[in-house]
Amino acid sequence: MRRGRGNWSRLAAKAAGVLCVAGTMTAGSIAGAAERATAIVAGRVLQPDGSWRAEAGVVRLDASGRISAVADASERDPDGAHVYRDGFLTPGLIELASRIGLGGGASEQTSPDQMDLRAIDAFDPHDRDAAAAVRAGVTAAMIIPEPRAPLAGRAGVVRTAPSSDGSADVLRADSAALFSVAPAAMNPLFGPTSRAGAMAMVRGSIERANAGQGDAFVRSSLRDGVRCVIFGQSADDVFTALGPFERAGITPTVALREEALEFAFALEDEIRTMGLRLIAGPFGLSDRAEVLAGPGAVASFGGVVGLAGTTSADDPDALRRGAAMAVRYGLDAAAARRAMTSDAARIAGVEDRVGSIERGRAGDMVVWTHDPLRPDARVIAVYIDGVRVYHAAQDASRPGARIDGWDDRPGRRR
Amino acid sequence: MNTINMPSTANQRTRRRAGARGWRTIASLAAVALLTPWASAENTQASRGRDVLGVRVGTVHVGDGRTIENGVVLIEGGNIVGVGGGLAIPRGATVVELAEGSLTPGLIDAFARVESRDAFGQETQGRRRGLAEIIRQIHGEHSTAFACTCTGFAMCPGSHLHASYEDDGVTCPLCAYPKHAPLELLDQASGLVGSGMITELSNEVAAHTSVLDSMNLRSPDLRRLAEGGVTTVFASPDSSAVIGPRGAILRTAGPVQDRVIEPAGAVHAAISSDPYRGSMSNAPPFRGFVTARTRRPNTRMGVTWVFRKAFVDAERHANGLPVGGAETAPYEALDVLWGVRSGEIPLRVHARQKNDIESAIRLTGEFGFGFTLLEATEAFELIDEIRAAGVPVILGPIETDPTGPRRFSPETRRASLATFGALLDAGITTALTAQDLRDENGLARQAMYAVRNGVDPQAALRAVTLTPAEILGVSDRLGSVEVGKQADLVVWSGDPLSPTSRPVVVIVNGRVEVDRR
Amino acid sequence: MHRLGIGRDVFGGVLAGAVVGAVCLASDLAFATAPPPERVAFTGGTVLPVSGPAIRNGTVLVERGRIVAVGTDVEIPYDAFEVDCTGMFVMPGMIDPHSWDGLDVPNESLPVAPFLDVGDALDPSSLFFENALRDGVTSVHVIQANNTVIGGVSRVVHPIGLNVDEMTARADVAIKMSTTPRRGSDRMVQMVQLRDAFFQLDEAIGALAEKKYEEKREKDGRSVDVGPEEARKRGRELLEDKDYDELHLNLVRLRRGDLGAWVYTGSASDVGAAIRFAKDQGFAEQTVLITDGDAHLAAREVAAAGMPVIIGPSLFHRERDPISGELIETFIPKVFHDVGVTFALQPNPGDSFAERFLNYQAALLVRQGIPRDAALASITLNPARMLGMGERLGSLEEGKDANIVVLTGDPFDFASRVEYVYIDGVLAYERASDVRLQELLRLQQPGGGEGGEAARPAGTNNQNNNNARSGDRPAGGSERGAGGRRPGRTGTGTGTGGGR
Repeated sequence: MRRGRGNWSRLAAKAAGVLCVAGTMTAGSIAGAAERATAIVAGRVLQPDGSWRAEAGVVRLDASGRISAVADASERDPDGAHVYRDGFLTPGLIELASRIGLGGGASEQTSPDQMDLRAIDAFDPHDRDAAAAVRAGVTAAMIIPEPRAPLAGRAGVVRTAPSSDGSADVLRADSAALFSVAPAAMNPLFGPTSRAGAMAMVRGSIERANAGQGDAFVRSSLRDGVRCVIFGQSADDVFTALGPFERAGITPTVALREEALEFAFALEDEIRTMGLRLIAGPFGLSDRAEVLAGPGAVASFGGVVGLAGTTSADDPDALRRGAAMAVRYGLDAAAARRAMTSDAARIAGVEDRVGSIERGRAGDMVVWTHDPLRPDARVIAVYIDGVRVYHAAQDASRPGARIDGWDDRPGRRR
Repeated sequence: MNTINMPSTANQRTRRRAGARGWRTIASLAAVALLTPWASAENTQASRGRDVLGVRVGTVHVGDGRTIENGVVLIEGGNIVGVGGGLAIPRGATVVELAEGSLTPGLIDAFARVESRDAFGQETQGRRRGLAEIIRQIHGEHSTAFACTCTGFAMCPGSHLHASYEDDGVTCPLCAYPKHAPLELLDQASGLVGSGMITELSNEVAAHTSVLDSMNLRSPDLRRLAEGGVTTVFASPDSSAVIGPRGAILRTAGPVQDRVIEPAGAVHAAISSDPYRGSMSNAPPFRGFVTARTRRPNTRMGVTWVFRKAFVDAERHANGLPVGGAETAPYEALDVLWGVRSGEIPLRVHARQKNDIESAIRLTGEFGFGFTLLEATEAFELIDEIRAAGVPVILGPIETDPTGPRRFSPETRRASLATFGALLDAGITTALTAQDLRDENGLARQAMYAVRNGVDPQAALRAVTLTPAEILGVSDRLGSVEVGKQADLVVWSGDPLSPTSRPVVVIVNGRVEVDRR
Repeated sequence: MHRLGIGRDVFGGVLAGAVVGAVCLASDLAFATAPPPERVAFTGGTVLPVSGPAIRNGTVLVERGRIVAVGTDVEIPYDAFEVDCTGMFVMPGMIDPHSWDGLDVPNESLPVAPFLDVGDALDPSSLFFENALRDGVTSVHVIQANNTVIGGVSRVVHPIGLNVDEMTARADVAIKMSTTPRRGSDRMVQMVQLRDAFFQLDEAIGALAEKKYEEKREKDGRSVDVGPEEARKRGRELLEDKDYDELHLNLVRLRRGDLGAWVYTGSASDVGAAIRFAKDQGFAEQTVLITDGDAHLAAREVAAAGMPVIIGPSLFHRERDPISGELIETFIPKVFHDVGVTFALQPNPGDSFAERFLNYQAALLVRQGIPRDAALASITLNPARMLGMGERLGSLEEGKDANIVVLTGDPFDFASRVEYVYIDGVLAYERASDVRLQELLRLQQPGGGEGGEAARPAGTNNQNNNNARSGDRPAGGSERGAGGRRPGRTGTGTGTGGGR
């Protein structure tokens, strides 16, 4: 969705044009029909393993906005391509355990069993945090209700930009069941008041699901470990909570937030043998070294790390900054880029649709001035489904927001 | 230090090894048979010297009262395979020798109550930021002595107001926590406890929960027990709920995945003032809406009522009848209590005063199931009744300055140092417990105190080894130095009950876990 | 305040009378007060002199309150009262080197108060003294607690006597000081107050000296002929004790070497400050350090300064490693022992059951690898020397005070109990007559407690139940049993044979 009056007039013109033309319209937005790129050429293109392609690359998109091919850029740019000769092209960033678009709501504590709580229900795609996220290059988010109960609720994966009709663009509804044994899940009113009580609930829920009874959503989530996320405040919380899942034969995802992240290194055995996945963060500038070293430790054990963040209108770069801090304290750069893209998509369960620049994925991409791990990297353009939904060259929202001179016309490569 | 890495419970590995080395074994057996005179008949399975750990000491205390001079114990595959005086140790075996020392079974504490407070009252440093630390940060130093002992920020939505409540002398209307209670429960410093409380307080009946879920098995504090010679514990909840969680039987050393012997053991119940006294006190519900802290019961009448109702409801629920009313236990808990009634799941009752012990005997008599009596401070008043009811007793600790929850309870003031001797004389099965983890010698010292107060040393030793094993139902595997039992052993530098001797080598499940040589 | 001027023998007689009186009260006896025997012989037991190796089947001969002979073939005079110690252990009375439990308040609120004397606050009826006796402690160094800058003067007392004078074994032992900041204060202020006290002292001495010289010149009918500096110098030589006022007298005596300086150092950084200050002020020779917290980390400094140390009361220092969270335990006496520092132990009643006994604390030393002799000395001879009473107390040697403890077994065996305590050759405590101990051990029978001996089945589990049995005898029994006894009788009737 584009902003600014100029766009609206162009929109009107285009609409008139389309109505006049008896052509097929794409499934995308009316405005987008004119902005969908058929190809993007960029000086650096991020590969699914988190490293940059050696040569400049060209990403071709099909009519529905999906990536059809990724190749080295040839001598001649394809016609109609969006060319960013010096730009860095990455998949759209994906924030995990996110609160984007929830507007500060979705913190519910009314019952120990809140598995019916869906983050999707609280998501507002027009929230200013969501808009800021788009401009900051975060195109999708795994949103969660605040885990305030042992059976905490359901995550969902959404795009941060609304779909063409203005509704939420849901990539995957009810993507994961959330479980928590952290102190935040305890409650003096109706319990549980101890981890033993929380475990009794978690264990009971899993056992009932395994026996074919109980919550249908839990039952379906247990079939695939990616669809179960455990929240804990310490390594021991995680060890304890892992027990019932291990017995059921599935490997859940573990979310360690803030202070709890310093215990990530204690999960070495579990990571190596079970292939545990970790959602790390959010963390801020004042976090201690032990906390910030958590993601690096997990990656060194061979674990899959995704990053949680606190992207908001007041702090749009939170996700990238967290990744950069993690790199500073031991996470290797490729893993950090993966943690915001392909690994994040894997953890969210949407890796078949977004998260990497590969054939068949949706055309959710971002062009940067530099490697996004650098603090001075800025967003030049954001594409969703191949449609450029944000272009810094036209950003008049505040002084300095506009960046010129990064996109070139298609032509011969120098 | 010649330790040997014994496979713990990896029987498969042993069998596989046996297969692979079959021919070599036969050859070496033949050689051994030709070259070595056979030792006593007890030395049945110690064939492969290399896999054997032999311990030779001045005196072996078997645990059932017998002693063996110049004792030798042979260990293989985690088990005791030979015990005898002057027994030969196979060639190639690893030898642990202490001529002036003695050997006992690993000590067993059958009531190792898990506390969230650090065993030594030490401040948390660095990473483990207990709730006390957080309170100090937010409230400032002045309030640490009197901080509200509600579990605070994790649980009370109004906790940010607690500082002003302290100054105004008002109790928090949300958690109804009395102010100026000592800051006892908050520190996670021991690391033994996961976040939050140990005992589930959402209901007075929490029999469906297990204390193991609140414990951190990797805590270094467990190792302190091992270093003090305690190799097995029944990790027990405290008595904050009338019918509380189930405990767990644990090894105190060895690989973490092998530590749990029984994850859900006996159910812990309390017939005393603990469920409503002191830091656990339930303020009257009129103060605000009902929370975990403002429930009944407030009196012993209430405690007895909850106890009785829970077991009545268990029967009703088992027969498909509806249950309801105040303080109804969750169904899962009722299922567990039905198991107690039918005798499948053991029950233990924590009672100190004479009237509480009488209540416990009477209540369980009503429903017709047995129990184990814990702490039993005034048991000397009811010797005949306890004996007639056939109730085993886990007594202790013998102390003059009560600590922990006992510190603020008036129920301990009539303790008598001769209680243990009296119970033994009456033929009541009695084990000794240190009940908390204050000192690495807690349990060994309990036996020492008993001897000072007139108890035979072998009887005192039995009360911390074989008797607790019998009470916990693991005496087929633990509790004495006998062939076929698991090798949980402690080598002491002298007499095990002397203050001048200490554990030198501690063997758990056949592995040397502590070695101070 | 001043050294007791009365002769020792007379004093001993007074004390003996007081002891007999107290024993009468304690054991509920009603008989004519007979004078205690002049000669007492402890025979047949294992003697631990501390100054030498243990003597099996040894004899200790006491005459008029002093030890006159220790050995195996000591000739026992015909009129000596014989205490049969067969199967028992005979050792010097233990010494509690640092206690304020006999005072009503541990510390005066004034930071600098060297004019105080603990004798003024001592309460002879305090249960603390009765318990000390019961635990085998024959000398208690009563001194102010640690929350001070400069405290008052201490004294050594016997834990028996009807008033302070009777109890006092040595008055004016030491001044208490501390380099650990008082509660609410900080180190800079603490050190300033310390230095300032001595600075003020010097000023006061100077002024006094000058005045003294003036007076002398006046008396001689002359005027002052020299400048103030010289006048002070000459005047100092003329000063006597009576010239000083209360505020300064004790510090002067400290400087002179008449008083010890017992300095509390609650942490390692306080140790260096204390050593430096003592050296600067010239009383390093008389300084004893009282360690606490992590002060053992400065053990080498203490060794280099040659100062002895009072450890404790808690013998273990525990802290958590900030990174690993592991609990680190240090056994403090071992640290001092390994660098050669002389130390003494305190009882620790605040900890569990056993640490209130000094002999148990010493047993812990043996447990951690310190030789028995050193452990025994740390509760007897070492504290005696630190108190300046090494000639009189701390070991069983000819010429020393007959402060003797007889135990039912090895003092390092926890089942051993104190059987007799003799102070200055007079029986001060006898377990058989200890009504309160019997109360503690007595089994309460259903229906009331005063009944006769319970008819209980002889426990096969409980063969060596001697201790409980003797304690079992109700008060009436002990009255009956002890009615015919005089203090100082042998102890064979009370089931103590066989040690445990």
